[in-house]
Amino acid sequence: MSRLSPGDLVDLEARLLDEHLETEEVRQTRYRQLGLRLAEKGPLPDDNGDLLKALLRLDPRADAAGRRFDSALAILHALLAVAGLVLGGSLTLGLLSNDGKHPVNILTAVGVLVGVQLVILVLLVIALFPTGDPRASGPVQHLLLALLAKLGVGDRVAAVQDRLDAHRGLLKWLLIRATQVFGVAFNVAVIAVAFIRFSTTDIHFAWSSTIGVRPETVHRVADLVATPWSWMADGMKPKLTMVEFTEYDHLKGRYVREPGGLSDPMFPTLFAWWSFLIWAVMVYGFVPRLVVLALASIRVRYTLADTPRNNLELGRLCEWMRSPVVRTRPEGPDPAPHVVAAAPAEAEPDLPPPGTSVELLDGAPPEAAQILGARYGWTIGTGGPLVAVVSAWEEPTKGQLRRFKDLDRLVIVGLIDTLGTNDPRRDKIRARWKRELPKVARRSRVEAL
Amino acid sequence: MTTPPKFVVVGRVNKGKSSIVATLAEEESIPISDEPGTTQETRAYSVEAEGQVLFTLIDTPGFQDAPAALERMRADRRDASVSAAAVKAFVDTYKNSREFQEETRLLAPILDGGRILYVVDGTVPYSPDYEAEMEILRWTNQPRMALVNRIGDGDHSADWKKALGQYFGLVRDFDANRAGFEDRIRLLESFRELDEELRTSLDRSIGILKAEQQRRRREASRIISGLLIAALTQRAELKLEKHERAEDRIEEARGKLRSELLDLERRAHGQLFALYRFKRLQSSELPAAGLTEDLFAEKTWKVLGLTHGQLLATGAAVGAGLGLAVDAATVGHTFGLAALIGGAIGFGSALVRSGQVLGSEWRVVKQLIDGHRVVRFGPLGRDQLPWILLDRALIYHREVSTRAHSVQGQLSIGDRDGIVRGLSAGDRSKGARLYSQIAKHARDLPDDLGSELRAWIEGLLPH
Repeated sequence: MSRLSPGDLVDLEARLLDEHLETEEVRQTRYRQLGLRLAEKGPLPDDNGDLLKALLRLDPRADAAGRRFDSALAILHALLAVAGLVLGGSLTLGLLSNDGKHPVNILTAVGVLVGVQLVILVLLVIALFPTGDPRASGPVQHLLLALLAKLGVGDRVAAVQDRLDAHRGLLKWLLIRATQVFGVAFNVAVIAVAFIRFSTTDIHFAWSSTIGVRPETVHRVADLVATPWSWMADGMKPKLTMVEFTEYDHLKGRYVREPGGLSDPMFPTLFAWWSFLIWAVMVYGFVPRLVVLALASIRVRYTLADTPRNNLELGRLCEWMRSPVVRTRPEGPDPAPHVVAAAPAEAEPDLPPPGTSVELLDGAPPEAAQILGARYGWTIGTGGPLVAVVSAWEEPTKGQLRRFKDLDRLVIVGLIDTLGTNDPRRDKIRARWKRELPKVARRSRVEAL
Repeated sequence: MTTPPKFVVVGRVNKGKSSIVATLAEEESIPISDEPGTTQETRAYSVEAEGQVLFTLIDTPGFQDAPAALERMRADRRDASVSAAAVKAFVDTYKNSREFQEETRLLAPILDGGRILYVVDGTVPYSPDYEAEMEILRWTNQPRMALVNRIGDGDHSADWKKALGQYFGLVRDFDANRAGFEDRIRLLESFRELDEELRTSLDRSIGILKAEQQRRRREASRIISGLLIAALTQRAELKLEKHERAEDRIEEARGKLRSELLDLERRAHGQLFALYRFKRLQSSELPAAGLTEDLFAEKTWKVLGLTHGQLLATGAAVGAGLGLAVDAATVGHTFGLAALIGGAIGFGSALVRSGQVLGSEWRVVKQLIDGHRVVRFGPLGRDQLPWILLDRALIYHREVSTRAHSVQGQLSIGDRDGIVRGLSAGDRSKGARLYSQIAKHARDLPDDLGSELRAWIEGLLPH
């Protein structure tokens, strides 16, 4: 089983959009033909994802934007990763530099490197709540669209962006993944540069407050912040002494508690904040970004794997490719409409009076003579009017009519119905005898017996 | 590869030969009327898969003078061993003549190897004057089957079968205007038994036709699912001018959404008709109340969809189902209370929503790019509306999937209750749960939810 790439899905959705106005019949025939061409190379894959990928390889559209969409995504990831590394690195360098006058303010460093990230993360989580309009938007999307425009496919991808989002918000999650690439790179850079700084130079930390926050309060906050990692070892917990020792007075340009000589136990605590900073960035910056990146990646991968299996439209394409097209082909041109000539507009002649001798045409049922005698008072003989007794249920045929052609005698067709039902078909058949008989016999009459 | 079989459909005029061809070939374009002699020429209709002919049905003009034709053939026939030759000589003699025009036209494809499907009308009395044409067909020595069609109301099929049994290897009832897919397959299977030569090719054809029937069911369920998803998620947007109040545009937005939904429904019905190869049908041709009536007509809502009681019970069942999940999660520590509360909430919520106007949800949003205000209206509703749409679609599906292609004109649907009211409580709960989930995902519907809906609907379609 193989997964579609986002670009594959762009191409497939573009196809569906292009074919929107075509009839199902045309599309079915097209995809079956493509299926047959694929089958020439080997058995059609059972997995829809494989089949759709094979379809895209077999029948690429000249203006397909998929490959360039994948490229744009890769470029976007690279750009964001580089931007994250550069920004994270430079920011850390800036924050963790001793100007020779004052120590590094730990509250500023944590606030900038962790606090801002936490705020952004909270905003992201809020944005993920269903709002009824989860369409992706924002600077990263605009960057992606700008890249796609540079690659010459911006319009084509923009046309299908709603369709992409219809797959479990795919576009939105692609963008979330991209932003998390930036976030992870940023944090990696922060941690790496901080380590380098801590390893290669002596950075001492301090904190200060204008509004008179007490060291106990700062300690409580630091203790709370350190909860996720402080359980690992005793030394991981920020100590109150460390907070007290690192309180700084900018006005005087010195720590509130002036350290004594190098042997003063206060000295090591001036540098001890470094592990707190690293852990804070790790726990509140790097790990959440990594988790969201992993979730977004899993979501994107799952969507791309699930879509060919469960999407109604793509499932239909696969079924068309696999199933033969069954249809009926009439041979030759459509027949001309059947036109029935009207009967001559002449009144039927009168019936022969009782006692007339009539000739009964052969093929009549045995009871015919009796019926004619009883109903009309005719006798059966030779010569005189010709009487044909036929089934009231049978249409006049050319064979029957031919027997009356050009006869000089009165021809009487008696329609006999032994069932005596009131089926309306009998009346229609009688009407047809009345229409067809005068066309062949010079004098004729149709009677229902 | 074996040659695909040809079936020549013959019989007296106006006995339903063209109807049988239309039904077997699923071809609605074949001219059919109750006027005798509508078919003047033989015409072949090949049922194909992938451009390969599975079988061919040949419609023919009816016998017009079989007794005279038989008489001429008798003159050429020295003994029974040359019967087929006598028929051939007859056709050769008269093929360019106006005399026996119909007989030569219908016999020619039989002499060319066509198998015979002889059609009579079992609703009119048997008459011995049919024996001439049966005798001619016997003389051709081709495998032959008689079909007793039903054009009217009487029943004389027993007499017919007795007589037909003398001349035909197989006699089958086949009501061209009522035959469904299974009847068509049974007919092909019968011929398979009659003619050993055809077994392989007919087995293949039967397999392909059965697969096609299954594909149509799946496709129909896709079409109906797509319609329901659109109904549950579709919204209308109208741009508001400066100082314009959203309330003033609500009716317009509602009208726009309704009209879009009607279009979607019409399109879906058209797709269903085309799927079963009824391109000439229009959904507007359906006469029954609740179907011809507009989707939003009061009558439609009375006749179709779930009853009020069913809607409430379904709401309660869905709520209880969710509660039950909570009970299960607590390993029964909530003593079924969650199910009880969930059921009550579901019931109450269904009760409240049942009194709401369709699509009462609307809000004004400001567009990010140009800053315009837009009033967004809908979706129209997830309670009764999808059930009515489903009902209408299921009724249309039932009618077209069982309709013979020989039947012309409108669909004949009675003024009766719809289908969804007869669904089991389990199906109703499942449907309501799916509707509710789909409605929650207006624009990023999980594909597996669509797939689940499709599978559920496929289960509702007749086999």
